Amino acid sequence: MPKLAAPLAADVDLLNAAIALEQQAIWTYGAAAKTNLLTPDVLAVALKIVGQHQDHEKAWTTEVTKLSGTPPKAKDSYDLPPLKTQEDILKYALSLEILAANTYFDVLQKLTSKTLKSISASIMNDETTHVVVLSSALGLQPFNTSAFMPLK
Amino acid sequence: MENPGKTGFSRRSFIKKSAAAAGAVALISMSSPAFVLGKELTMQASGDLDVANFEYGLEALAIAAYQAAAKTGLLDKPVLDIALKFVDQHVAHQKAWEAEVTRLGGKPQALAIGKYPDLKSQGDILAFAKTLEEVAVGSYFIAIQKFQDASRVNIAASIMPIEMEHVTVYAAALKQDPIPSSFPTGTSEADIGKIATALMIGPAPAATGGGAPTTAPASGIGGGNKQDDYSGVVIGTLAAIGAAAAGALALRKNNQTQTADKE
Repeated sequence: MPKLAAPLAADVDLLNAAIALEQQAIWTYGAAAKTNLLTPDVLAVALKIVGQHQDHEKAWTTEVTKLSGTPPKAKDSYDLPPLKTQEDILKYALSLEILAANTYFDVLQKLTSKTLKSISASIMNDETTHVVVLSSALGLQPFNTSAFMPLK
Repeated sequence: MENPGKTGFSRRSFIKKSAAAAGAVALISMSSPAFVLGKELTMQASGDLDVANFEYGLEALAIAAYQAAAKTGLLDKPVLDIALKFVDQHVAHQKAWEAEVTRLGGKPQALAIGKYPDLKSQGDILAFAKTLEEVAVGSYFIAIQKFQDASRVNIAASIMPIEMEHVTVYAAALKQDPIPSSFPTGTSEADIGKIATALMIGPAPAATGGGAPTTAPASGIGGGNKQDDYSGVVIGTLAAIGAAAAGALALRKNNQTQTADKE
């Protein structure tokens, strides 16, 4: 297999970091769902969000493979803060989603490929919708305090 | 708050004033060269300038539309509070593009709606606002691909998720699925053109407006995305969103340092 040019190799690194974040989100929502702390309505939303993170992971895995890179494997488990209530779970999920949206904002700026920038832009949008939904579920202001990224 | 609208703004008078411009320019697209809206902009047909000016114009249009909506008296207090907060954000975006257009040697050109759809209820307004915000998301998604200069790509990328938040809040308020897609990209370029035609969007009229007759109005505005039934979900109700927003705004008014931080 020929070696990737440096910019594309850098893109692979960025995408692999994004994949790792998606994998952590997928695992975390799965763990949250198993706690039985979520009401059915919130659980339904969480499961829908998991499905979307899985879509993101698949999209990036495809792109990394196209670039002859090797996508990372998901860990068996990830660290979690104490999650004793639904609110604890929602707050932690919110922090992950904010991190994801802001990471994609950063990734988008660093990627060299326009196609990959576009994918990153669309996923950043989706993570932002998760932030809105989780914020509103927590009774927090469901939109950013600033008119610009990053999300706070 | 900055008020870029005309004095004495009302939907009817605005339609009358903008009729000439809107009637003359019913086609709008971000594809060069059709992207440009009129002679003045055509003369400055450099890529980044056109896109930046389009975004400036769209933000101006959104601000005017929100102000028109606020004056209808149809919005409940929590919804109005949110709308006004969104106006602030659009004003900040407009200023960012004004700076870019000026930096590129251009003259900022506001866009305006020539023909509003019938807005008879809060629901009508929310659906219309969602349509405009989806157009904004779509335009920024396209802009990210079109801008040549990396710093302008970053500005567009920095604004787009904020517009996405607006879309999501409206979707929830309308009891639509607030997370309908894993890869949301807003309104497509082709549909932006259709919406612009239906709303008779064109350059905002100068202070002295004309009164020329309009062309026959197009129809079909206001569809937005297909909605899932999300009524069983406790989150995303307008009451919850409104209360959260109102609470946060009140907090901010009382104490500048005490904003509703999510963390």
